Amino acid sequence: MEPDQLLTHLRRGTLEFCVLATLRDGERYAGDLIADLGADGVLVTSEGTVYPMLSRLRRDGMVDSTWRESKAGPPRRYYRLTSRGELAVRSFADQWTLFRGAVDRVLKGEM
Amino acid sequence: MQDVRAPQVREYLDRLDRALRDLPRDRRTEIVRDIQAHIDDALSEHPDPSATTIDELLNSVGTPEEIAAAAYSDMPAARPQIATRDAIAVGLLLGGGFLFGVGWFVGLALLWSSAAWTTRDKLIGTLLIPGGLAGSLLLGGMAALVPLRTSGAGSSSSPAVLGLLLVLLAVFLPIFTTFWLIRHARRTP
Repeated sequence: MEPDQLLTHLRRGTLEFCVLATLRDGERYAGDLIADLGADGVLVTSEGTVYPMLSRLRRDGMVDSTWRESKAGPPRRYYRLTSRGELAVRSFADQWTLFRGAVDRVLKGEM
Repeated sequence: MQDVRAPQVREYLDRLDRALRDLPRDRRTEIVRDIQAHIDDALSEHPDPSATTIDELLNSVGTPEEIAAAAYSDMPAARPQIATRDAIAVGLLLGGGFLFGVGWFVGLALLWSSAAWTTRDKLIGTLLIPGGLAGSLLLGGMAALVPLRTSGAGSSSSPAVLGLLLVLLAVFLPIFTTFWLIRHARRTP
């Protein structure tokens, strides 16, 4: 499998929780959290693809959003975690630790 | 706002809107509006952006097709369709009896020659009830007549109630069969 394709597969099922995790310390607007996620190009390649995901997370009740005027430019949409979203991040973090540990053990041959 | 946007941006948003045309309207509108706000916000840092700046910015947002692919991958997969031929079979088994009585037999032939159902399903389709709704009305009619004859002296109302139940059952069964066949048909995506 090509490295790009591999990354796409790995993002599926993990990226949405990373998006939720960026909101753990309080509300942010999308451009801000995308800048965090996409800094190294591993999690996010095209900034725009995060919006459909935010839209779904909102419909699933994981995040809430409000449009707010900004001092500098046009209005921004601010997102914040719902209690359901918070729970989802916490549970993902636990499972991820287990998952990562298991994969690492296999890769290092410590069976 | 619309008129002050650069033509490149307007063209980009149009392309995005078209790429999202298969989404439900509210989702499509939401995503276009979000991307629009993202672009407006990023451009507000450049008072007089050059064409290259705009291109670079749109580039980092991603192509409309990429964004659309991300949106569609979030949608539940479309339900596989029941084949037209199988749908006709189910329809004829239910109502074909009214088509000079032969419609049901055509439905029966289609049912048994189809690969969409197991033998169990085909038996259900055949036996519950032969003739479909027309068959059940015939059967129900007969069942309704029987208590009239036997209870002639008005001895008891229970045969009449029983007759009514039989009629209801006879009408219910072909409808049940229809749902059963639709549910169990092997579908093609």
